[in-house]
Amino acid sequence: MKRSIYAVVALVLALPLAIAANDDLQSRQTDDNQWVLPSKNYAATRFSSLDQITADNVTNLTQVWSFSTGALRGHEGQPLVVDSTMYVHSAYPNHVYAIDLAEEGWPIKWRYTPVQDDRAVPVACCDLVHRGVNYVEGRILMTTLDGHVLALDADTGEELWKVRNADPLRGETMTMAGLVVKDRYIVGVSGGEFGIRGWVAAYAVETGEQLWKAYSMGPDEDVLLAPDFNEANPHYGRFGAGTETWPGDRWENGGGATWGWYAYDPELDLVYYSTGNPGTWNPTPREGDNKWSMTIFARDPDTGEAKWAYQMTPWDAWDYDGINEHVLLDLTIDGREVKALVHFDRNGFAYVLDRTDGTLLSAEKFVEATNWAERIDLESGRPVEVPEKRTRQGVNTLDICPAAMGAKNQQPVSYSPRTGLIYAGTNNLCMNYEGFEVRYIAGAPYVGANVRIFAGPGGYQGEFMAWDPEAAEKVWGITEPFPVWTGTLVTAGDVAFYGTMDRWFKAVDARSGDILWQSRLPSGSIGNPMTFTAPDGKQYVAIYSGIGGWFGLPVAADLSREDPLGALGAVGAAYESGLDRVTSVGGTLHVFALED
Amino acid sequence: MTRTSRGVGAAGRVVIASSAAVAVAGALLAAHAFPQARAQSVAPVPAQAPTLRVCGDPDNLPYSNERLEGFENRIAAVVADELGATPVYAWWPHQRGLVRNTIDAGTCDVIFGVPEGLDFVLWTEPYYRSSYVMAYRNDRGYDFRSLDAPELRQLRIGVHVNTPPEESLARRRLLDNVATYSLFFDPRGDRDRPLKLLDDLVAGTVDVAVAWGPLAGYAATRLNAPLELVPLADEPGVPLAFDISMGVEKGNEALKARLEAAIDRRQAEILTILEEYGVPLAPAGPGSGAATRDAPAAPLPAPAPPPAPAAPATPAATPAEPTAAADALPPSEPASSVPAKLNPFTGDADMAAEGRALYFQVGCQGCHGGGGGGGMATSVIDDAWTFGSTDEVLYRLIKGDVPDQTMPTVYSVLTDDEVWKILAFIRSVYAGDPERIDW
Repeated sequence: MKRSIYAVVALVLALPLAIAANDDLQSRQTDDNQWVLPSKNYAATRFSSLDQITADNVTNLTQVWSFSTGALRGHEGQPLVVDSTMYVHSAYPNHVYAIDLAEEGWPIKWRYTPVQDDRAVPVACCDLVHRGVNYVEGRILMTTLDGHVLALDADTGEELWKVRNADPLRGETMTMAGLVVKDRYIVGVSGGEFGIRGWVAAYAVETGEQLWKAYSMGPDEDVLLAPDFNEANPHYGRFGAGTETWPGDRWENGGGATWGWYAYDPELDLVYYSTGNPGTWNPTPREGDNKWSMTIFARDPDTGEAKWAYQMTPWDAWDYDGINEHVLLDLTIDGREVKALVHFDRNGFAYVLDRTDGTLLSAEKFVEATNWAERIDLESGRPVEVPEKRTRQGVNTLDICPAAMGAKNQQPVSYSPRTGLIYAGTNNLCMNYEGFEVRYIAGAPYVGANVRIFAGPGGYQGEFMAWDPEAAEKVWGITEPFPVWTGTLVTAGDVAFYGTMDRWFKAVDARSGDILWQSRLPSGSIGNPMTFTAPDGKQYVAIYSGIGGWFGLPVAADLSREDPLGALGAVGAAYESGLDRVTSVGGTLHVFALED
Repeated sequence: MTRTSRGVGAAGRVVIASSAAVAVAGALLAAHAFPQARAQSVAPVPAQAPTLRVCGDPDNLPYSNERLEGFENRIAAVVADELGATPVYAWWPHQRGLVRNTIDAGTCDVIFGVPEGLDFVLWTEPYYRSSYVMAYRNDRGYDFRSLDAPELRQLRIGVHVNTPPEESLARRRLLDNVATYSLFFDPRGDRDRPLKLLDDLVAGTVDVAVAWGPLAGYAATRLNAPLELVPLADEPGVPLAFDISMGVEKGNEALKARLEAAIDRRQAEILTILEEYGVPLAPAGPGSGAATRDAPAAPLPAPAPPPAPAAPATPAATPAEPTAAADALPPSEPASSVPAKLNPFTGDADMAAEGRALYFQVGCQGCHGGGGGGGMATSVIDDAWTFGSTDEVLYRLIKGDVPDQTMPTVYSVLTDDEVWKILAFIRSVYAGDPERIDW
């Protein structure tokens, strides 16, 4: 038998299906009967034009279907609906279910659980969450906690390819949803508490081949800077800053994880995401701006090159992990039409930038208690810090607001073009913070700070608020006893939705801020509400319950009450507010509709 | 030491004493969902004739195919002949669901090419042992003897995803240079076969391939690829050589005994077949051999008792007869049955203070909480201990030496002195039931 090795392989070579411009996904994201992108659309507005459910009839909303995911850790993210199939995901071990909405009772079409290396579990910083899957051209794309990126056949659940993006043995994990742009799946990495060097990477939807990888810090060729990088705003920093703003080679463990929500502007052909905290949390050994941690990046999805980058929190001393979402809106700022990017950062400021070149247009406190900086200087783009709130090694700096969990965590906002308002779930948390010396050991925590977290002024821990991004001011708010850790949804029925850790799912008049309806869930919610039309022609609203995430971890993992510094400060905050008295663990998708 | 991944069996993955998803014997490991596209077909059984019912992969050279061209087909013929039987095949791909759909379903009795660790079946004694190899073109002028060759940093390395050497590459921080390949393929032809890795190696798409020996050996020998193969030795925590057995239904000791007798008598012929297919044979490993292979959870080498610190760092510390205690501890005894006070620093406030500083410096706080109350990891101040509470258990946990431990096994870099100081701190913040103190 003398066959050539080429002959053996040639027989089975795949015929690549061309996915060029991906017109399919671009058109689907505008169809509000479906919910095909994690953030509803590329602009990440989480707004739906569906209007069967209105402020007038939402009191008739009732739960019509529910589904246990089979997992009991924090359930972040949202399901997808593509044509007549709903794709449900879970917390670790990251189950995926395809649900047939066209058949009576919505049965399961297929289910899938990735095989995972469970050594990823102890190196996931803040609960074993997952933020959802992606769809493109008959494929489901997803990440796994143990650092793999994979594609499934959307009809059968068959695994098409699976590649490694991150290495849990180096503290790298994945919890994010990522985003499909054109023929590529763009993902990042978690592990900012383990001394990783963060990156984003693009994988070919067809094969899983890595197309590019761009680090958050390090030499320019690693960060992939375009030749005209930050040309419009050279004062933000340009070439060489990824190493020069760090002492020595500390950028090698510089953090800058990229686990948040991504957005895309098809006209400008730019992908937007941002990077997290520098490592370690102790600022003293890494004096300097620590670029490009805490940075909003705009990259070319074809090449990965960064067109512009704006750092929000230079030389972070508070773990204001800057990964929160970006909403792409066309706004009128100071009488001028602007292609804007709106970003509610952990550091307590709501930023509006020109998304074409990164020019900063406004930055205002969206949680009043914010006290680490007086304001953001629009000329330089830098915060005007309050010196006594800058933390240092060996000093327990008191009463800093917001806390490390942020004035808003990853829970994404929504925007209604009808009201012109952004709807945000926020945190009213403050902290004491003490940095300490830490040694880098690959795969071991690299935290370097003790954090004690507690409710901010007023004693409540969260708020659901409406914010005017053009005027840069709060319009109204509903205070909550716990941080509002769900995303929000707003519809053309002028109803906004959010959930709470004390197990309520609430509908609010998007104009007045009046609570119109609420329903109790079995476990606290940290998921993102979404809406769709099923084949029966009815509008449905869905949300996960399942307490967890950083704040909910003490309950999700049943932690002892005795150490307020436990779970990086979550134990003190969660038990102080009685979270364990209002919820236990869960993992359920709930679907609501108007009563007939 | 090796470590068995928890929950792996439930996920249907074949794992060989390593928490990395381990893939050996070609595609006989089922990390991935597999479409049940190939209908199972059972060949007609001639009436009266004694048969050996083999669960064969219909399409997976060099191991097996329906045309009986694989080396496992050839070996099956030899073994059946020794048993005076005719091999009759039930075809099912050697991927996920293999045992469930063949032996458990009663369609066949023996699977050839079972790696140690596939604990859904009863193993025979091994009939060969092979290892992963590093392969490169023999006309490139390379002379690498191990994965530690510094030149590898500049080369493109191909590896099958979820195999043990992927772990080896990760540990060397070589993953940025790595191209991954799938061990699983779909007969409809829309995915690459495992041999694609070797084909790419010949074509120069990758410079080095790290592959299961029989696959690379087949490419080099039967497909005449111009390759140099370098066998890889086991690494701590990453087994790279595996015994290969036949697998039968659990409890079917009679068939197991008959197969083992056949292996013994026809071993020479089996080795000739393996040679013909270029299978690189590995020397017997420490856990190799029938005597230790009946227990599905491969017994770990008896742990050495943790060494006590050579000398206390300060005069204030008074060792509580650490040497005697260590000597008194039989290495193979469950630690909990022999409470032993090994830590000379327990109760020493200065040492506990140093231990507290270390607890923060090396990251313990990141998971166990600033006060020890837990976070992503459990509390260390209450009296709930997952693996036991003694000095020996906690020492071994920190050193990464407890089977199935969830704590990252990265702290072997700590000195014994540092470990005992950290434990002195942990003991000093204990808030559980005083009667349960056994340290």
